[in-house]
Amino acid sequence: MLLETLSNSSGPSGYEGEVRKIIKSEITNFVDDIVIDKMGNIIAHKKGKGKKVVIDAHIDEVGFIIIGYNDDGTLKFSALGGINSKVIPCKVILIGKNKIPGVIGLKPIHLQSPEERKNNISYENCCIDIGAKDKAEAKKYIKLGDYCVFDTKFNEFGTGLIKGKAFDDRMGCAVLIDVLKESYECDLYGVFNVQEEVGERGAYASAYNIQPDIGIAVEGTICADMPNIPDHLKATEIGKGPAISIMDKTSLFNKEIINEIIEVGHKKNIPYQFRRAIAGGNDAGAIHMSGQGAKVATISVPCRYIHSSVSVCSMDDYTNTVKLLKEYLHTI
Amino acid sequence: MDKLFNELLDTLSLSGSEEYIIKLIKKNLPENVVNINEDKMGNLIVKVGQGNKKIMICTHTDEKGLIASYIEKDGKVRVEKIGDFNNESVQNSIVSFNNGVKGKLISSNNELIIDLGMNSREEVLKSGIREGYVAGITGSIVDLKTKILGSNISDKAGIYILLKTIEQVKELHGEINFVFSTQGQLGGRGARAAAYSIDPDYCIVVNAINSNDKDISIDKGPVLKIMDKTLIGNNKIISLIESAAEKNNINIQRTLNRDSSLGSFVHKERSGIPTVEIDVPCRYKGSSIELISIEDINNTEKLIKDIIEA
Amino acid sequence: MNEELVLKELCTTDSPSGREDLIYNKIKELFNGLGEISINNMNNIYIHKKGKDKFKVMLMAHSDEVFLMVTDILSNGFLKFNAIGIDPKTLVSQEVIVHGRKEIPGVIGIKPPHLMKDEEKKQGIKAEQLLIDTGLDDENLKKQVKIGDYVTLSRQFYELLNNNVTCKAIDDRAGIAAMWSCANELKQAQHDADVYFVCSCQEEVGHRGAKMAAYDINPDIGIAIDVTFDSGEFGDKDRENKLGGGPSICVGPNVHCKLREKIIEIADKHNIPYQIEVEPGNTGTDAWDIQIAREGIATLLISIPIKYMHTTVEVVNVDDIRNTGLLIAELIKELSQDELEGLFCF
Repeated sequence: MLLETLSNSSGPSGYEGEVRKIIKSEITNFVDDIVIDKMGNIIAHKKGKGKKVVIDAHIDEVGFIIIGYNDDGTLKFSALGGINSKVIPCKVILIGKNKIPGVIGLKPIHLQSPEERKNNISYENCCIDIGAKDKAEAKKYIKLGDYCVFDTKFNEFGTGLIKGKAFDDRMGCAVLIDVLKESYECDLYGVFNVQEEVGERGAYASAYNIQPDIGIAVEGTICADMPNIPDHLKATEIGKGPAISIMDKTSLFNKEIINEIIEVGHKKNIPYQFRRAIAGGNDAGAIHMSGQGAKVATISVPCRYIHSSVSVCSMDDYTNTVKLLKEYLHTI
Repeated sequence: MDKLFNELLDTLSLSGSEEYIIKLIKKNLPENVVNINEDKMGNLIVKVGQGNKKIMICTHTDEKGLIASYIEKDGKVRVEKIGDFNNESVQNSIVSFNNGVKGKLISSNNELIIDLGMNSREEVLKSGIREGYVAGITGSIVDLKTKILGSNISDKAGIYILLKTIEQVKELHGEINFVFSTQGQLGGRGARAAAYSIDPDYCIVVNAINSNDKDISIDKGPVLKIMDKTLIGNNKIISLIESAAEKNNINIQRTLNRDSSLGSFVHKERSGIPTVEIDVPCRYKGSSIELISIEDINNTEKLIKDIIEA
Repeated sequence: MNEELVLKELCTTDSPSGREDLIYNKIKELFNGLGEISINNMNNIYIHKKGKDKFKVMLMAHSDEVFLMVTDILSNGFLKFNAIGIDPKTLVSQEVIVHGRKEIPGVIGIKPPHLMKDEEKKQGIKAEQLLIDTGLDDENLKKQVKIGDYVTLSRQFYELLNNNVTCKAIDDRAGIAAMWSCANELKQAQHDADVYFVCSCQEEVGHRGAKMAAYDINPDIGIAIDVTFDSGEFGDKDRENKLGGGPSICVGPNVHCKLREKIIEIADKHNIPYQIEVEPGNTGTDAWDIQIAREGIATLLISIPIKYMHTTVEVVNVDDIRNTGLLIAELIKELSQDELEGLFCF
């Protein structure tokens, strides 16, 4: 399954090579041309006569990067993109092209003082351990700047749900690949951007290149539908359909486009919900802050636990997101 | 008070829905002005004059707003802020959505909620309000003869000044682009796109600044902002402004602070655009009732006109 | 002329963010004969050395330094000020220059310790508590100084042990000195690339000049040269940067992978010492804005380790400056247009 391949593949911010290859081969037969630009973004073009539309998904996932060595052979590391320190301890990660396995370790509870037991986890009090006996041996296998991803395998679970890593934004990538398999009247650019997680970096460059009229980001977005969270803080909910964003830290989404998408949802009987948080940001922010600007919107697949080692989504939400986006594109 | 200013204050102009005020602005442009365009970000760009020199005079058209993020089962509407202001300064105001539905803004536990007087989520949806809709602060406008008291004066003063300048300016030694930009409350996102398209030789952004009557006072004239958190005023343009002020006997105040400027993205576009911000002093800026001096507005307009005609 | 003398000339010329035109004449003097020199309307300074015009390489070091700005004129010759990018604790008993109608020397003093309450004695300093003493009478002060006037720090240049030197504004005059070193290396050389040495404006207030210059020049490769923390006792212990250990090559999303591998290859080939440091995201340098200018630019970040950053006693090793210039010069000499296509291919 495409989603499985994408989720399991390795592509943290700045090191997206593996995922880029997979996506390129998937879309090659469905588009008029493909360009890989200076930053490594994939820009796929389906020529058309109407408005210039960019549908954007980002290839990169959050991960880690090795920043130093401890004397005992363990490694110092930092996050590529935003990974809250609470989420990191005791995970298995794979380092670099050779996928060297390592664990994120911390002091066992037995050895922690009462003070330490209460304190928050920080990157400084964790290490990555590949089993090296000293600094010299660690240096033989691992270079400064080597990247790491979580070793999480994709799987189905629950009732119609799936779990895996990097749903933010392999969900978006899968949706976009699916969307590109049909034909539309508008002048469509399917853009798979790099380095979104470290500041929507790729999107600035690709948007400048294209100068679209409309930009729509497809994301895997926050979903906090747990029982102990008050309704208004849930942001989105699993099973309630694709989430339409109203605003986030980097964009105020265009109300005409939002209304048009809602109309499509009603007409074609596709469920949808609103993303009720204004936290976070995505490539749409970069798209309208490049060159002449653009009208922007965001549609997302709700995902629990993004930016951690394992996320959860609903297959129905995924399918409905594809449907909604396809039908909307047919109206432009 | 000028009828135009009254109309501007009366028109709800929220970020993302600036079309209502843009319509009003277009209606008030002099008849001989024909080069009028709207771009991808909804900015209104009015071009007058021609020549080698290209100047951009820019203000924003949106006022501070509240976006509905969640509608509770009991009909209360949770909102998030659009703009830089604090809860204390706006709580207990009357707010209004674009479709005319009004309510009271309450602050509870540091969160802002609008009470529309409705009892259920369904009732709210039926009235035409849903998540994503934006409301603004409304309030009576009070004419204090030499001063004006009212809501959102600081966000409309720039529009008024630009319109009056377009009307009054006579000698043009170049192409002047007057930009009425969108999403100013969000850091000047519209202004950036306009600056990219126009690529002027320099840009003056017109806004309002809080007057605390200590280092900035009302009735002491336009304020020249030397530097803030996001923009260092270009020293050559500052000299130009100072000369025009001296020549025409306009008193200007000088300041530096940690605010964000409308010109923050403008000056970094293309190969760099020398940019300076000129502000009208405004007491209680960012609160639901602001106070401004008509003389300061007129002097700011005069200063801009003199700079263009220099 | 050598790197140390160039550095000394640069450091002892003032150039606060926004007024980089103040250092233009000095740059013209030092880079005379090394390329065509010009300054744009935002004070970005360009030195263009022609090559075979096959592609463009842009080097960038910022010409602005951290500074103070006058916020209020008090009585008896005293001024209040804001500090931009400077730790106020390092300003006590510091001599300054107020750039008013003319250059006015000043002293930043503090309340004598015997007048401080016990609480005060234990706390750190805030900029609001400090005043600049100009010694001028009220009338003269008001005539010469206004709100918004720039204030720069005063410091002479000194040599320390081991080819280490100290002065103010080593951040980033060391980068400019490295560009001078590179330009000298390339003076007699033939190379495919057209080279632009850019002294960028307003880096210290948010690397603003970088985007403008990168747009203007539109290079194929952008190499930012800035300073970085050493990893000594009072530096960043997570890094491995030593003064004298050579230029520090940055690894991370802000840096083009293949280009970085290429420059390391060159360093190894020519036996130029270098160090590695990792930046997981925003490097806080011109490199960040260069990388996404226009349609994207292949970017490198080379940093010179220094101690006590943003104070008047920044310390740098002159050999590191020379090796930075040399390393980049060797890269430029070797890069051919054909090779570039391979490097840029994903």
